Amino acid sequence: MDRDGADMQAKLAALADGTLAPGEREQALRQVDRQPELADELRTQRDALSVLASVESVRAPESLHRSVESLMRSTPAPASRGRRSRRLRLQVGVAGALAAAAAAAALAIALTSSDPGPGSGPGPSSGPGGPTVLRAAEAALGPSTLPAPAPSRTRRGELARSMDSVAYPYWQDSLGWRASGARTDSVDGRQVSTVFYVPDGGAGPASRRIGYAIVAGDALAMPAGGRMIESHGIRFRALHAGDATVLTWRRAGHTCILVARGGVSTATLVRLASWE
Amino acid sequence: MGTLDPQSLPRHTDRLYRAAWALCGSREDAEDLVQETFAHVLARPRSLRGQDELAYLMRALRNTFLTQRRTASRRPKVATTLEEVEPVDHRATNRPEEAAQMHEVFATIATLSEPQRLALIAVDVVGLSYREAADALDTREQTLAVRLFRARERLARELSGEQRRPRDATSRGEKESSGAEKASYSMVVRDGS
Repeated sequence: MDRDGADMQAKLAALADGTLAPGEREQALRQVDRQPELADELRTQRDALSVLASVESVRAPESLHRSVESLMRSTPAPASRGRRSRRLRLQVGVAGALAAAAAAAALAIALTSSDPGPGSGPGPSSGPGGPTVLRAAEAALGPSTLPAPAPSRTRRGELARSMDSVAYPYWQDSLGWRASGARTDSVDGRQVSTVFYVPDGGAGPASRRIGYAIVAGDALAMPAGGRMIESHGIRFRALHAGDATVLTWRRAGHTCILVARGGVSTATLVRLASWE
Repeated sequence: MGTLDPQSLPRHTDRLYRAAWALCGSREDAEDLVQETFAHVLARPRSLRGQDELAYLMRALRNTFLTQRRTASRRPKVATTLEEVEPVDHRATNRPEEAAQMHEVFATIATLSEPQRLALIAVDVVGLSYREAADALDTREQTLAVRLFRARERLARELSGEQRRPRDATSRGEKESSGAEKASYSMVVRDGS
């Protein structure tokens, strides 16, 4: 492509979208009138613009809008953002902890209205008084209280932490999510162990954190509602509660739960959970 | 010197999402890319250095995309090839035919070479001026305009089913590469009961 040809292409692009300067526009139009191949190329440019105009109607999904709102809530207002990085990190940390607490509270409120309770659906441990998936998920939204488990030295693709011999996955090399901490809770008399994961090298840990909970003992009843999703032969149930997304499935007879606030999509949770 | 107002981000979400979808070729990856971009931008105060907010965010989106891709390329490849089965996106539009058309347009943009794709996204999807787009993409205005011309030409021809003309194949100075790799997995969604 010679220089004149490139110049003409640049002019045709601007002519098509109406941004060519008036003087150049008249000159370019005269050239187009004289050369049918230029008229053809101009028409092609306008065809493309017509197609591209139609994508303006595409809106971001509600889950993304929610996650942006969630990110905003976990970020201090500009006036209070200090110049010193240490101060900023502290503020973000506190804001993140508050946001995590707020998310857990939102989920707690949501589950009182959306959790069908232990009696819903089939399940070996759905007796009265036992934990439910959403109560376990609520625990998995809490702050980290234990250090991140290390990768297993003996089993590739696993962390050196498990619940009833069900190991937590190591996702850092394969999927780019690293273990960032852990916690253990007792929910309605059942132990719930959680490992937290954050994007490897990613920012905003408060909003992009996933809790991977495994409930000790027999599997809990699958909650009602939400969506049933199948991936790689595994059946998942995905639910939204407050601004949290909950994905649950069974591994080796145990209930596993991935829970994240709005900053992580259901598709991402399924992709991670499918990678064993 | 102006700084980016974090409170302004929500009003750019739709536009950035469209740009990210065109960049990645996948809705789910687009959602993640926008989240990651915003999380990165919000991590500390950002000086706009005379740029328009949208131009700044376009640059941030591109940088985050490139970083994600570099990181992904260092990871082991997925051993199995999985096919993504997407449900109709009722969130983007209520009309299935329109949704299918949108998917095709975004998928076609994602097959453009990266320089052409970025030029098209910056100007025609995000709505930056040629100068703003050139600044955001660290290139010259003239180069950007030529890339834009070629991107539109290829998009129009691909969508109309027309084969690329031989002249294009030899005159392009930029190597054509396949689009963004699609993160893929098999997924079937049913209504829960």
